[in-house]
Amino acid sequence: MPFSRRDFLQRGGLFLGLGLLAPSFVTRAVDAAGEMPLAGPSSAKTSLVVIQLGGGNDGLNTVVPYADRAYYSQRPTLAIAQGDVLPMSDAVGLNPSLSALKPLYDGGALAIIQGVGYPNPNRSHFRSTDIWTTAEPDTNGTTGWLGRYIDAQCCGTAVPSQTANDLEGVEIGNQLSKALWTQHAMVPAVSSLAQFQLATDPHYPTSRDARISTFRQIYSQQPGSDAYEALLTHAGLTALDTSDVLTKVASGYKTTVKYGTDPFSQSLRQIAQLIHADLGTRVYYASLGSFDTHANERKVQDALLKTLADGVAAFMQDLQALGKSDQVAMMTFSEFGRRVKENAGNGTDHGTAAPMFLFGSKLKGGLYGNSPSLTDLDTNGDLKFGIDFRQVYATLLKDWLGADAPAVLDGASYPSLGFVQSTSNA
Amino acid sequence: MADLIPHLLRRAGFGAGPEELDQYRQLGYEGAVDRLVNYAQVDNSALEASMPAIDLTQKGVAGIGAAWLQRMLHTARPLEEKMTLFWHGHFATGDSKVRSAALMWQQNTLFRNNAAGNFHDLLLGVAKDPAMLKWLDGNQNHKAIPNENFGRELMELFTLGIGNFTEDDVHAAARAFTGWHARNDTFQFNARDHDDSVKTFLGQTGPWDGGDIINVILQQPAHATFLMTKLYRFFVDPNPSGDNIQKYAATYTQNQYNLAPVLQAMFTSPEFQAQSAVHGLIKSPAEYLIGAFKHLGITAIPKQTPGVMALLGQQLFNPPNVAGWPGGPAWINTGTILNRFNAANRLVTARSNDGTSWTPPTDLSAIGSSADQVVDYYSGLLLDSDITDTTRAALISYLNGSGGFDTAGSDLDERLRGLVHLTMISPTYNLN
Repeated sequence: MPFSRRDFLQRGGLFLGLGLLAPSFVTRAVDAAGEMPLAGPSSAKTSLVVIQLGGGNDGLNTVVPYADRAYYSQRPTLAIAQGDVLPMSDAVGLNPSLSALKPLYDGGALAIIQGVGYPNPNRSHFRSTDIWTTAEPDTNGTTGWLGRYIDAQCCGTAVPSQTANDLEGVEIGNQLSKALWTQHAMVPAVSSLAQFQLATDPHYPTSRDARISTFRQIYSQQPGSDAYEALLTHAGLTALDTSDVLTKVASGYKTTVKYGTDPFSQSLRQIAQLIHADLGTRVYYASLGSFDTHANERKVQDALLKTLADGVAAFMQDLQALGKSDQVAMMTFSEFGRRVKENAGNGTDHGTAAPMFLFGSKLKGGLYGNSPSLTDLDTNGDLKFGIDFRQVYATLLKDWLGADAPAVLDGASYPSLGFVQSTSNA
Repeated sequence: MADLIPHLLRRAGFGAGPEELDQYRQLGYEGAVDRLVNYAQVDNSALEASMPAIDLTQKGVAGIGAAWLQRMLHTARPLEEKMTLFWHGHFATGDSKVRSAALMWQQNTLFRNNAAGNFHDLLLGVAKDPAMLKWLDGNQNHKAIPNENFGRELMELFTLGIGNFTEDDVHAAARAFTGWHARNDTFQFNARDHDDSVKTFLGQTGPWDGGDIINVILQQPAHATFLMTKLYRFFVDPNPSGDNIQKYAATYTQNQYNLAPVLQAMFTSPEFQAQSAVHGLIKSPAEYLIGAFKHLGITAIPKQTPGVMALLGQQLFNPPNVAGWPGGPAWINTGTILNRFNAANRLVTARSNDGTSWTPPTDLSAIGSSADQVVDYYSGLLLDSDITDTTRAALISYLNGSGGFDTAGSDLDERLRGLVHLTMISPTYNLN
């Protein structure tokens, strides 16, 4: 049986019992009983799965401009042979390693946004990843765009000492992406659902409750003014609370879909488990990489794209079997594309614009934007972008998640790209 | 005068157990700093004799990882290993691409040989290091078609930082390093493949080679600022002031890029010795685990340790990318903190009888007879007594249980293991 929001409210009660302010979602639920269901699955909410392709995925060998002569003249070694490309239009087609995605595209569940980038592109992995994850090209942001969305969902303008106990967002992985950095909520990074548990002395199972109770006493103190104490206290308590939730999630899920054994496919499988558990989570996050193909690009990228495609195809099949297809959309992004001209190492160096993939049965599939010109290039000899990535984010925030997009994007408004079939219910 | 020796050993090394702390206390603070910084004077032959032979033909880095952990735990020169770790994070190179334990260990030795030495010599050594050449595509950097990977990261990550160079400088640096190759796992300068034409780099024009590029970089004020800031954040405080950094930058450049005078100055500075600096940084996984081994008297590295380090977010010889580990609060998320808690639990409950886990004492006469005294002893050992009243009360309550604390009680084993575990998973134990 899916784990319900009711269990969170019980935990909210524990908070009140310890004399702390309840997480604000508890108060909201009590005040607005008509708006938010208090029990049972929150099936009305949509969720977004974000896949980070780390390292700078070469867009031109992903969505291939196979009809453009310049593609072949600039990449004598690297170009995908015309006969191997899986055509989507007269101009572009998919790298054959993505063959598992072709049925999704043909079925209208894959929207490809072409030529995505931003002005004054940065070619440093770290700076450009920061830009994509914070959605703040002009400052050194410290919160992620997804983090700001999650904060708005859970805590609004709550003071930092309140913890948000709801699993608004989860990353499957070891490191929390900056996209999920928040000011208030704490988003867990979990590498394995089943193992996410506080271990105590196996010799003395009956002492476990006493230890956990002591742990909670220590961690429920208001931290002093030291910022690190607050971080550690918040993280420790969230870890314990999250582990209580997640160990129940792992046990309720069964699938007949065959996922690959690679870490990426297993990440998607765990996300499917979480979606099935109806925890009310709105954002999931996983990574794949490294796509930083300065050398030996065909071998490295083709293998990674196959992993991506096979994993996504299995995941989409699983969502269908679980009856969750309508509620989930997925996007991929990378910190930049790569240069048009190949280098001497059978690879490419850091570039600029590249395509984003969006998956979902409730999306309007097809090609959006234009394949960037291979001859009308910027002053560095790189592709010019056509669509600002923040416009893609804005469309997802507003049309898919029902959120206040300008509030998340520091006040800026972007017209919808129109790739969502209908406005989601908020 | 507060006892700053535990703080000094946590920062300049990986912490220390009670006996080691007493040895340093006997030298006085300045004497302790001298012994740590000028470590060439310290005999390390016992460590070298105890190092097992490493199979460098073995695939993967578990073997060299275990060897390095052994050095961190048993060295008589803590700062030498701490600086080696700093350089590994700074010149972050990953075996995931280098695929050679031998080359990764050779690079590690380069870091150790220059740990608190001269940065110019270290940087030049790194530019010729075969692991680095593989990592940042040195062998693909040709006169006809340069590869920019090393040229960019050299400036962005290793010496100057973003904003202190242009894309043109990256192109020029790449050309200057063409022909710097690794052949048969050794450095070879391939003159025919080297672009010796005139280049303009950071405003200076000439037929620059890689060595010249390094010299021009070191002359930039931005370099000293960049490196001193990074060292300061690693050793002293996460929030440096501009004036502080310029003070160390002056020491660094006046000493021709030698690190020892800088480290000496940092450890004897008022900002380092301030009470606010104590427990002011977040422990890296290496500091958390090695420090725990020292506190618990664990002398043999448990074989799972390299894997545990990876779960805590720091896989030795495989940093996540060329920027290394961001450190500080980035070490802490719900997943990594849970993994710390569980690593501590294993050390305290594994009952392995081979020196790789903790055995609680059965005779508590040197520790205490009441719950208060026992809690105070362990929080002194593990936390430098930096404990809130609430935490102390909670631990005392735990130790007392329902029937009160009895040093001869049958549940003593369970209570002590629980107490030590709980103390090690309290927030403060994660602070350096």
